Order: sequence, then structure tokens, then C-alpha cells
Amino acid sequence: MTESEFIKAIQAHAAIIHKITYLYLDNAEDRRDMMQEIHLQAWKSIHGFRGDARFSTWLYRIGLNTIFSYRRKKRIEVDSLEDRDFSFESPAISDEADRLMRAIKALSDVDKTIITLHLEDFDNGEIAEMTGLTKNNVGVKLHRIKDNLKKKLNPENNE
Amino acid sequence: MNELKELWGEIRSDADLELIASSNISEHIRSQSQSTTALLRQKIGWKLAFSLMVLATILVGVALVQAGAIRILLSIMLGFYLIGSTLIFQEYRLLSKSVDMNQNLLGALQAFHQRISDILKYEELVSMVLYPITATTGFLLGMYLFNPETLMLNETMDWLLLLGSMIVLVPIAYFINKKWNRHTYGAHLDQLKANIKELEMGT
Repeated sequence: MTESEFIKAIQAHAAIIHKITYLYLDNAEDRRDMMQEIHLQAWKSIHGFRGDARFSTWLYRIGLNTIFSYRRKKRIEVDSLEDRDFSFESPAISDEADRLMRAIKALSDVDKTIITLHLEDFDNGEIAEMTGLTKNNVGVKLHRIKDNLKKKLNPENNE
Repeated sequence: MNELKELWGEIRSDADLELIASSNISEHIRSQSQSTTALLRQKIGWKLAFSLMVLATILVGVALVQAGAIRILLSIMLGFYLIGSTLIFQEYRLLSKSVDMNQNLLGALQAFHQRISDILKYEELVSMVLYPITATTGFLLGMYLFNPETLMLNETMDWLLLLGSMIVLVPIAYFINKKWNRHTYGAHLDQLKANIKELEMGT
């Protein structure tokens, strides 16, 4: 893949990087730094991209590996998420979507990865392949995470 | 289940609105990595350059200095600096091999954890080899320069002093380095370890 092809592919899949950085990092400066690092790591690892696989799958893999192995200056303060208004960062989204984003951000790193990949339409086999978990375990974890998220999104139904 | 995916779709389409300029991406892929291993490599590169410089200075000293005691001290320093520089070079070589980011998340995290732990072990070894000998011989050389008439290392007592200070300084240097590494990289290693543990539980 040439540099211009790579740049076009990254632009076409910008939402992936945007979402990964948004879910794992709490401030805009850290997110910008991480975006730069993911672009760099993706370019350095481009030899590993096989044309037969989806670029999005490969980019997710690189993005997650980069963000998990990076020394994050500060972890997301879970307690403060409840009070935070995300809508100014993503003005077009509804309250429910805002609550979902908030609930996902509060999950552990691994749970966050599993549910994000699931919501991005990756099947359990692909998630297992990307994370190193077994397919069965992905299924078990997904079930638990979804229950947890539903409770957070509709607390009145669970009382 | 569909409800979650529908809500996620809203976030997705919103995120899609952001476009990154190609010039920015082009700039990013030419930038210096800020990953822990890249920063370690940079730091160790400087350390290697410094130790080679000291090594060259000691070599010149050994060639020029006539006083027997000083030559002995410089030769001891030279030996330790050779070992230390070799260890630092090994670290540098290890860090030059980048971790394969194409592997799965668990594999990548294990590789990063292993790489950083190995480097920190090397750093502790280097601290045991270099700093105590530098401090002791530096002190004795300083004393000699202050009073050149003093005949050093001619008596058993002088050797015992040198040996004693080494015995005291080696564990101190090791302990301080270990503490410093823990302070600098401990949280990162803990973060890597916690995620590895969580992933390993599901394999």
C-alpha cells in the first residue's frame, strides 16, 4: 500500500480512531496525541495488513494495541462520568446515545473493547481473534456487559 | 440488543462527520513515537552515548596517567564501564526491535509487558555495575587530585575502604534504581498486567 492509499484508507475509517480515542481517553489533548500515535503505528505496521482482510478490522486491532500499550497519563475518572455532559462534544446525538457512551466509558478497558467491537458489528469469532479471548468467553462476557448496560440505560425497568 | 446498536449507530454517524486532513496524517506518520518503548529507547540511546564518552575519557586517562594507584583505579573503572556499556547496548538492541502490532491484543500486551520488564531488569543491573564504582573511584580520584602526595592503594586498609564502600553502595544503587523504576513505570506495568490478567482469564 502506498502512502497516499494509506492516507485515503485512514481518512475513510477516521471514525474508528475517533471512537477508540474518545472511549479510552478523557481529554482532547491526550486524544490528539493518541490519534497521532495510532496513525504512526498503523503506518509502521502496514506490512501486516493482508488485502483479504477488512481494513477496518486491521485498524481496530492496531488502534486497540496502541491504546492499551500506551502509558496513559490519567485514567478515566469513573465517578465523574455520571455528572458529565458529553453532548457538547457530540452535539448531534440523543440523550440515550449520550447515556450509552457514558455507560461504555465507565466499563473496564477489556469490557469496553468487547462491547465496542460487538456494536461495530464484529462477530464473536472476530472479537476473539482480535483480543485473544476464546469465542465462548466473548459470548459470556458480552451477555454480562449488555445486561449491565441495559440496566444503566433503563434503571426504572430494573427496580 | 438492537436498541444498543441503534444508539451506537447515532454516535457512529456523528463521529463520521470528522475528517482528518491528509497533511496531518502525513505529518503523523513521520513523527517520533511517544510510546513507552520508544521513549525508553531514546533515553537509553543517550545513556549509551554518555557511557561511551566516559569510556573514551577513561581510556585516555589510563594512557596518560603515570601514578600506579590512579592507573589501577582507572583500569577498574574501565572494566566496569565496559560491562555497563555492553549491558546498555543490549538494552538498546532489544528496544530497536519493535513489538508486532499486528498480533492480537493479549499477545501485544504480553510482549510490551515483557519488553519493559526486561529493560528495567537491565537498568537495575547497570545501576549495580556503574554507579557504585563511579562514585567510589570518583571519590578516591578527587582525594588524589586534592592531595597528590597521598599514596593510595598501597596499604591493605585502602583496599578494604574501596571494597567496603562498594559493598555498601551496590545495594543502595540497586534499591534506588528499583524504586525509581517503580515510580516511573510501575503504574504502566500494573495497567498492562491488569488487562493481561483480565484477558488471560478468558482464554
